[in-house]
Amino acid sequence: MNEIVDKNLNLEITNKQLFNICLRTKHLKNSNSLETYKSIGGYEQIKKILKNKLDPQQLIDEIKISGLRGRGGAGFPTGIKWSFMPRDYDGIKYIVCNSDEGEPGTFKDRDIIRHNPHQLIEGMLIGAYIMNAQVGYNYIHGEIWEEYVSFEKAIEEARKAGLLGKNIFGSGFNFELHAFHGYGAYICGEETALIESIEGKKGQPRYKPPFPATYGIYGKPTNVNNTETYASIPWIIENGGQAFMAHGVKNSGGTKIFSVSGHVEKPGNYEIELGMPFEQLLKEAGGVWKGRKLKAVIPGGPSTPVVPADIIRNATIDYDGLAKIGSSVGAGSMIVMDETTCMVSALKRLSYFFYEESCGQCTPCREGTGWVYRIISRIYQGQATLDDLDLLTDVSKKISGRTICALGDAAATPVLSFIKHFRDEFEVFIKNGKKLVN
Amino acid sequence: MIKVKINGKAIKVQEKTTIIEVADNHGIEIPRFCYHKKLSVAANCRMCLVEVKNFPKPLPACATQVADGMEIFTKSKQTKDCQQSVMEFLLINHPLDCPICDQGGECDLQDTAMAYGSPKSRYQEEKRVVLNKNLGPLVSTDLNRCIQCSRCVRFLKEVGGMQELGLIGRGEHAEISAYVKKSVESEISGNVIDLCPVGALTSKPFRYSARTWEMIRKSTISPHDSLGSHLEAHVKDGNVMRVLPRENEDLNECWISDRDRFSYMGINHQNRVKTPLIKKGATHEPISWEVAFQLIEKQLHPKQNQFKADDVVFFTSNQTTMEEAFLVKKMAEYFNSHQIKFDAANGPAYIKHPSLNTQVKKIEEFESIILLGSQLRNQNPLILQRLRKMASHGKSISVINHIDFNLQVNLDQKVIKPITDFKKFFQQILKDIKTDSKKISKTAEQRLSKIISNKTLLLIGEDVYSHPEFLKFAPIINDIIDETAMQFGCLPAGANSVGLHQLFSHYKNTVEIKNYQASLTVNLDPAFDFADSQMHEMVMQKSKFNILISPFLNQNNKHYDLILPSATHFENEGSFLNIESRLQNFTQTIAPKFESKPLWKILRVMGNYIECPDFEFETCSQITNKIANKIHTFKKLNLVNEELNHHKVNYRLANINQSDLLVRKSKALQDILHLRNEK
Repeated sequence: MNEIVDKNLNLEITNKQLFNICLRTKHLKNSNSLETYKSIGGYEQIKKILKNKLDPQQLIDEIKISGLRGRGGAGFPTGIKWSFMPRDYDGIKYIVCNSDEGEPGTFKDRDIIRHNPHQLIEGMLIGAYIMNAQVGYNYIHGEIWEEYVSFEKAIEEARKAGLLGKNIFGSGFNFELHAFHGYGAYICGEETALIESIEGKKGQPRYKPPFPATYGIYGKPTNVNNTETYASIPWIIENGGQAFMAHGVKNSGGTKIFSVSGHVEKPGNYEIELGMPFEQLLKEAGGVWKGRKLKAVIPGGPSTPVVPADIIRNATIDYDGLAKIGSSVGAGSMIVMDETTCMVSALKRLSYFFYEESCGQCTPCREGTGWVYRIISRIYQGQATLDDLDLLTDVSKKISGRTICALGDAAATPVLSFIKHFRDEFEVFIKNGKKLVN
Repeated sequence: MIKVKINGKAIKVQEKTTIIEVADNHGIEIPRFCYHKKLSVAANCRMCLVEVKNFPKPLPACATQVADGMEIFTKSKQTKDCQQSVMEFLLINHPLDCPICDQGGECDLQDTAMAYGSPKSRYQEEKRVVLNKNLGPLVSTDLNRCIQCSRCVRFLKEVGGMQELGLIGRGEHAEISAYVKKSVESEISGNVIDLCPVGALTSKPFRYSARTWEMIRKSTISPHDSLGSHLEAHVKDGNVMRVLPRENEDLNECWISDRDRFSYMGINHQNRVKTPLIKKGATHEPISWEVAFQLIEKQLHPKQNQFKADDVVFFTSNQTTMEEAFLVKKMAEYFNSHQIKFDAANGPAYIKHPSLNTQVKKIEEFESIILLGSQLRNQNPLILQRLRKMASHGKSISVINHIDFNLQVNLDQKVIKPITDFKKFFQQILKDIKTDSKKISKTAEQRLSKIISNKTLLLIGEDVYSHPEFLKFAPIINDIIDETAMQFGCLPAGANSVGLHQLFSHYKNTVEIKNYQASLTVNLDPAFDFADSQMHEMVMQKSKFNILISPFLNQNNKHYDLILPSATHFENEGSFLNIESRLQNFTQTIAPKFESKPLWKILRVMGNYIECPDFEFETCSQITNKIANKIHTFKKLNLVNEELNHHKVNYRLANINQSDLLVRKSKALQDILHLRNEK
C-alpha cells in the first residue's frame, strides 16, 4: 500500500489549512437534515456504487490509496482493516460505528453526529456494501442523549427516503442501521467491550484473538470503526483516494478533526489537513488564553503522552510528526495547558479517570489504576517521599502491556510521560508539600 | 504435530493446544488463578503471562495457542517480573490474614504467593472492603478475599447451566454477587468452593471446624446416584468433616453434586437409632443386640415357626449394596419367598437389565441425545452436566417427557405430552424416518426423524421404563433402532439400581398385599422413599412381625416390632454397580456411631441365628467374591413381555434434596428446601 502512495504522490508539507470533510455541513443551515446533505451531493456515492455495482476490492484499494487511518486512536489503516472481513461468509455480518468517545477532552464524534449524521450514514452504507454486512449499529456515548435522539431522527429520515432498509436504490442491497445508546462506561469504547455491550452484556473487553472480524457480535464477523473514519468515506469515494491523501502528508492521509480544549481562547473542533504545524493549529484556536505562556500539550487525548511546550512547538500534527516527539494522534483530543497548570493536579485528575473507568476484569489494571491514583493523591496531600515517584513509574510500567485491552496502557501513559517530562515539578511538590505554580 | 521450545527444550505438541496445556502435559509449572481446564478461558488474572520470543508483550499462557517454532520462556526475567508484579497487584487488596482464613493451608493464592511473590509489598494505602453476600446454606462468602478470577461465575453459567453469580461493578469496585436477594440454587453449586482459588467462597457447614492438615483423607463412592461419583471424605476425630470430589474423568470429572458434598451432615442427626429398639405399647425401648437377635430367632427361625411360601416380605432401597442385597436374596430363598421390593422408589422395570449400555464418558461422543422421560436434574445432575457441555459444543439435545422439567440445557427439541400419546408420537417419527423427506422440518417428529442416526443415543428415564404404558411404545422404538441403528441407554437413578436389577433379575420388584408372618424393611422411610407408600402401610398392617433396619428413626414407627440400628454409608463398606455397570468398592470411612452396625453384618448374624445356610462370612469382601458380575449390553430394548397387571402407576417426583435417608438428615441440604418453600 505504501508503494502505491509513494509512486503517485508528491506531497507538499507546507501550507496546511483547515479543511472540512467530516464537518462539511457544520456551517450550513439545518446542518443535520437530509435535505442539506443532499444539497452538497449527499448519498450520490452510494447511489453510484449500487447502480454500477462497483467492485468492493476496487473500493478498498481506493481507501488504501487515501491513507485513511482509524480515527478512534489506534490509527490502523482502514482499507487494510476492511479487507480482514471474510468475503464469502455465509451468514449475517455486522458493521459498527464506534461513537463512544469517552476520554476526557474528546468531542469530535458528537459534532459529526450533531451536524453531519447523513454523511456518517452514507459512509456506513458504503462500508456495508464493501464488507457485505447486513446490519449496522452506531454505538453512541452514554452521556450525549441529544445526539442520540437526533441520530435516531436522521436514521428515520434516511429510512423513509429509502436509503436504509431493504432493496436500497432498487439494487437488491439491504442494510439496516440501528442507533445504540451506550450506558456511559469508557471501556465500552474498546471495540470488544462495545460488542459485549451491544449483546446486552456487561461491557468488558474480550481476549483477542479471535478478533471481531472473525468473531464479533453474536460470534459473527464484525467490523468496528470510528465515527470520523466512516464519515470520511463518502468524500474519498467522491474525490478519489489521491485527493484525500493530498490533504495530508505521507503516512497521514487526509484531514483529521482535533478537539482543542483547555487553556486556549477558542476551544472547539478544528478539522485540519494532517501535517499542519502545531503553532498554526494553536493560532487557529486563538492561542493560549489570557496571554499566558504554553506549558504542555496532550496532543491526542489523555491516553497519549504529554509533550512539553518547547518540544511540541516545532512539531507537525500528523501520525509521524507526533510519533517523532514521543506522542501520538490518538483521537485528536488536544488538551492545551498554560504556565499556571499544576502537573501534579492534572495527573491526579487523569489517573482518577482511569481508576474510575477500569473495567476490573484483569488484575494489573484493576488493582494498579487504584494504586497509582492513591500514590498521586498522596503526593498531592504532601505525604509522599521521593521514592514514591519511582514506585509510581514502576507500577505504571507493570500495568502497561500486561492487560487484556489497551486501557491499562492508556492509564500508564500519562503517568510515565508526566513524570518523564515534569519530574522536577513532582519533586518540588513532594519536598515542599505544595504546588509549584498557583 | 508441531514443534515448540519451552525453556530451551524442544517438544512436539498437538496443534491448537494452548501454552498452559502444553506446560501442564510436560510437568512445567505455570502459576494461574482464573484458568481451569473445565471452564472457558477468561485470561483475566494475568498470572500465567509468559515471555514468548518475537512477541513484544508477554502472553497469557492460558489463552495463547502454540504455533510452530514458538519459543516459550516460563522462567525468564520478563516472565518472573510479570509473575511478581501480578502477585503484588493481587495482594494489595487481599487481606493478609491467612491464620484466620478457612482456606489457609490449602489456598492457591497463599501457595503461589510463597512461590512467585515478593516477600514485601510496597502498597501502604487502605485495602478495599467488600460486603459479604448470603448465597444460601452451602457457600459462605468472604468477598474481601476475592481476586475476581470469575471461576465461580463461569462455572455456574457453563457447567451449572444458569448464570447465578456475576461480577458487578467496575474496576476496583468489581465484586461477586448473586441476583438481588437470591441465593445460588444450582444442584451442583458446591463446586464453586473447590474452584475458588482463595478463601472467598468456602463451605458454610465446614467453616472453622478443622484445618486441612488435621484431617485424614478417605476415599469413598457416592451412594446418592447411579453415577457413583468418586468422593474423598476428610475425617477428624472419627467424624466426617467434609466431602470433596476425587477426580475421575470417566465419571464425575472433577465435580460432585451438592448432595454428595453435604450429605455427611446427616451422620450425627438426632434421629439416629442408637441401640436396638423393641416395641413396648405405643413406644419403643432400648434392648441389647443379643436380645434383639434372640427375638429374631424366636420370630423367624423356621423350626420355631410354621412358614409357608411367600410368608416373609422384604423391602430394600436402591442404595443397598451388592453384598447386602446378596444376603437379602439368600434369606428370601431360605424362606422360599418371592415377595421382594428391592427398589422401593420404582415399580417393576419393563426392560431387562436396565443400564446405560455404554460408558458415561462415551455419551459425549454421540452427535445427538434424546432424553425420554427422566428427572435427570434431580437424579443424575452430573450426567446432565455432560449433556449441557455437548449442547454448548453445538450438539443436539432433545427431550421427550410428560412433565416439563427445566434442565437448564439449550434444547434442540422439547416435546411435552401425556405418556399415553407417546405411542402415536414414535409412530409418526418412524413414519417420517421411512419417508425421509428432504423438506424443512415443521414438526418435532420430522425434526427428530432427521436427527436420529447411529450417532444418536436415546436415554430412557427409569420413570418411563417402569411405567406400564412403556410396553405400548417400546416396540416402536425397537423399530426405529432397526431403521437407524440408533443406540439406547437407560437411566436408573439409585446408587445400586443396576446391581439390584442384576441380582434380582428373577424378581419383579412388586409385592402382594396379603397376610405375612414377618416383614423386613431396610434403610427406607415409607413416607419418602416409596413410589406407593400406602402399599407398604397395608403390608405392615397385614404382617405379624415387622423389623426395620435403618440408621434413623422413620417418620412413623408404630408398625415396627423391632428396630435395628444400621450404619450410614460412611460407616459401611461394600460395593455398587453403577450406571455403566462398573463395580465400585468402598471401605469404611469412619467407625459406626453408637451401637449401629453395617447392614451386611446385621444380616449375617441374623442369618446365623435363624440358621440360614452358607452365611459364614467373616469379611465383606468374602461376600463380594461370591457375586458373579456380568455386564449386559443390548442393541435393542429387551422387554419384559409379561403383563404386570396389578402394578399401579405411582409417579414419584424426585427431589434431589430428599432422595434418601442421609440426604434428608443433612441440615444444610434441608435448609435449602426450607428456603425454597418459603418463597
